[in-house]
Amino acid sequence: MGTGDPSDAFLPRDSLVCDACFCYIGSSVTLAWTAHPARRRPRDLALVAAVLFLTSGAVLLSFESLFMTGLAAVILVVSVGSFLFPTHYRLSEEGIEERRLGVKRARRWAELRRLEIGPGAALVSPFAKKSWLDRTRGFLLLFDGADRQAVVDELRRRIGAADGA
Amino acid sequence: MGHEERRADELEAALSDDERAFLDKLADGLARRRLTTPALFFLESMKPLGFLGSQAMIMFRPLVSVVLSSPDSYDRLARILERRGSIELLLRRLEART
Repeated sequence: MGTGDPSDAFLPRDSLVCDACFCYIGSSVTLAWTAHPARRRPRDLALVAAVLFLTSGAVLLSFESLFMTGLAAVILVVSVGSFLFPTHYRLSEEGIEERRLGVKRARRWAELRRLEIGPGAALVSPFAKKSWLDRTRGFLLLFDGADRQAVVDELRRRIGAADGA
Repeated sequence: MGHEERRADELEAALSDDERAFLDKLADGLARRRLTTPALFFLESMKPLGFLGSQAMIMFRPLVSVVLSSPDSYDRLARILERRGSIELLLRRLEART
């Protein structure tokens, strides 16, 4: 184990980094990690950049407006934000916290009722049944950059699960 | 916890028993009419406009009083919605009823 990066304000100052999975372990934090798929999947990043470039070009040609082109590019970038930008997750005794681009969302364990585990991510939802709002009101926890088994075990311990895959 | 969650928690603690019971009754009514999902969608999309919604309710109060003989619940809802975090509290109650 080594010391965590003190510049990351999201993490407690006394955080330690597990050498096996690079997850952060703090006093009240059970698990913490940063998912940044774009950094680990350069081919997908190139595809995203190509789509962004082509779409922006198409908008510029059809609308002939720089404003609309910029708007389209911003909407596209935001819509793939979970892929492009790092997302910090923290599982603590209290609940789950997610932070991306300075926006922090959190829920208590008691409010979360459903867990679905997939190969690359886990869905944690406050709804007992499937809902269109699962990802809005709940969390999609990307396993990218985390010890998948440790995260799954922790989520199962807290919520209980039905495997999605 | 995030700001929004903390604000909702603070409001939950600050609400009177009557106000909590009123929110529960409102959520129960929506669940009974099977309107939980549309209500969740509506409230989630309108969450930033909660305060404006409460002020609009006050603006339409004279019209509502023509239709409703005793708009006490309407007034109470407008007063609760004035407070930040109130829609989150209603959302939590609706979630628990899905």
